[in-house]
Amino acid sequence: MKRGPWSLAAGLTLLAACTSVASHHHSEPELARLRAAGYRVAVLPFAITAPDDGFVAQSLGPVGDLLALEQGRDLPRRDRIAALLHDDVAVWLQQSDYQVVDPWHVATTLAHAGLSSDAIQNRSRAREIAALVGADALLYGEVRRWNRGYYVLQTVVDVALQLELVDGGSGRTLFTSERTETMGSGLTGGPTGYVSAATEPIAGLRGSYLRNLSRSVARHAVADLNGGELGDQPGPTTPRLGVVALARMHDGPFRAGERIDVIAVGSPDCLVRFDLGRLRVGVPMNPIARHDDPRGARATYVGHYVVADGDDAADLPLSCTILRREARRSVALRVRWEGAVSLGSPAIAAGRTP
Amino acid sequence: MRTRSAALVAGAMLAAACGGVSHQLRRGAEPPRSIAVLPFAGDADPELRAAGRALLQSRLRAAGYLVPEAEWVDRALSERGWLRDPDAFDATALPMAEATLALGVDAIAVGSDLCQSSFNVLLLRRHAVGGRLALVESDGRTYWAADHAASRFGGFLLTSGQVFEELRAQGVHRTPMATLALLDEFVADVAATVPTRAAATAAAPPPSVDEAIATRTPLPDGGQRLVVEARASAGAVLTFALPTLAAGVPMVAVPSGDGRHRGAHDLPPGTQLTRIDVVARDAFGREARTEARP
Repeated sequence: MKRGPWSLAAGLTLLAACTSVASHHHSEPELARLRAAGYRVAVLPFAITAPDDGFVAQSLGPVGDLLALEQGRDLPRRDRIAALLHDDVAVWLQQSDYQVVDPWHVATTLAHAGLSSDAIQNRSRAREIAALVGADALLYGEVRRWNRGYYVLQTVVDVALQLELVDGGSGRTLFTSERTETMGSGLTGGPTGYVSAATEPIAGLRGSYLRNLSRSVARHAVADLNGGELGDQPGPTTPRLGVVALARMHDGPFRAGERIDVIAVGSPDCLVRFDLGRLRVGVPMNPIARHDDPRGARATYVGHYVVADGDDAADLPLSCTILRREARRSVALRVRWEGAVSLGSPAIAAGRTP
Repeated sequence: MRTRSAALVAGAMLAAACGGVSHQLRRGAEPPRSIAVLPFAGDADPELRAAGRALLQSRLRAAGYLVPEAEWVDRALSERGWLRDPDAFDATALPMAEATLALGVDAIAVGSDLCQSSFNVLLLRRHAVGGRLALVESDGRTYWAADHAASRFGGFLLTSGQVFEELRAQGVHRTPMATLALLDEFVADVAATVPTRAAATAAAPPPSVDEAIATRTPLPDGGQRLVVEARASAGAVLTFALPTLAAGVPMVAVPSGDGRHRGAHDLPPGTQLTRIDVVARDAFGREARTEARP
């Protein structure tokens, strides 16, 4: 009976060493509004405070060296790791709802200003640096773990990243997050035979594991900063469009001065725009009617484009995009009409009602 | 016994070789300074291709290249008749010399054969995202090209020693986030083989816009057609906005108009305008604004 608590403790310890994610973050309430209004963020160079790997892991490390660290060989290895995580975060932030100051602009401006690493990391200088790089806010990052631990029958790989978003106007911290992702290989992976008990922990030192973890940490940390998942995956709260069509059919191409009228029916209280191929994009549409229905409310949106002199294109696809006005984050849904539209003098328009 | 060891070593080497990125770089060539990333072609969903394109743009920016915005690139291609439908774009017919000149870049990034494949029969599973990326210069020569697939390979047959890990992997197989992670891995691994370059400042000065004027003509339904004109620096894309009514109305360069752009929007009868904002945006997202009197 006395064995029970010990077994439980041992089990929990093993599980803790297994693949896991520890994450906590905090956002100030005004961040969603700022994001929707086009908040411009500069990602500063990241600091690294991760401890050095132990001797054994360092010795075995080369079995999984990282291609991604081959670049920037003029930098010390630890700085290259910080740069790698910085780039991952900057890349994903560019897929989010924030506007991102070009990384090369930030790097060049900071280099020209002659600021030291300590000065850049000094939060009390946030306003000065934000003004310097032309950003509304600064994103600081610190790589706290980037480690591989080898314990003969078990390998643990972990990456931890802390992010902090500081408003460049007020100097206030608007967002903080700390995320640690751990991957265990060996005993905690499951039933392990004699051979795999020895080989799995060594395989777990692979550089690709460390790289995948770092990418995952960066992606998820930015998703937290963005208030939700990245990648525009429609969910249950994503607004829908049921109908997209030309409001008035037209024989032949639309000529200069003629109107292309588009109608869409979908979720109410949303922002709707239409695109003619990639030639004319984001043409605004306005709601003209709301239909309350037991199955859910719908709204009708209309918009138009007045064909300009010089507009000349054949068979452009017509599509509409809908997104919530006051979304926690803006997942947009794009719907295509089955027909096509021609402008100017080329081939006949091929409009068909859906 | 010796044969078995040799086979083991050969297998291990083969597995190691599979993990790398196959790429070619034209040695001795000066790396391009600015790169336009075209819509990706391939069998993958349009959304996945668009996400891959956006990620490559960001990776190239992080590597120090000047990369014009996708929307700007697409509009420039469309206006010249080279891009009709981004979901069905094929770069093979693109005249590279003319396209690089029109886009004002040193090279064009072409993504082709982007595909996603997966199967999962519990004992074996595989999920992969792959394709081919190339940087083509104005003379049509390839500066850099890479062919790669990021994949997850597993199944209970292969990972009997790591059953718990395999159970977890089965749970996330081909989920949207798993697909996104693979796409991220594919683009990041491939982009890591493009030489980094010292960051350079943008070639052109920021955009400018001025001389905005608005005129109205009556329409048969009692409304009015509002025509807004403005002059902007070369390469800028213009839109105008009528607060609370319409934002982002496209303006088009007037043929041989010396930088003049014009856009029109029909106003319903009785519309009162308070202001008209004209926005010019360049290829790198820099904006300039002016106001036209209603």
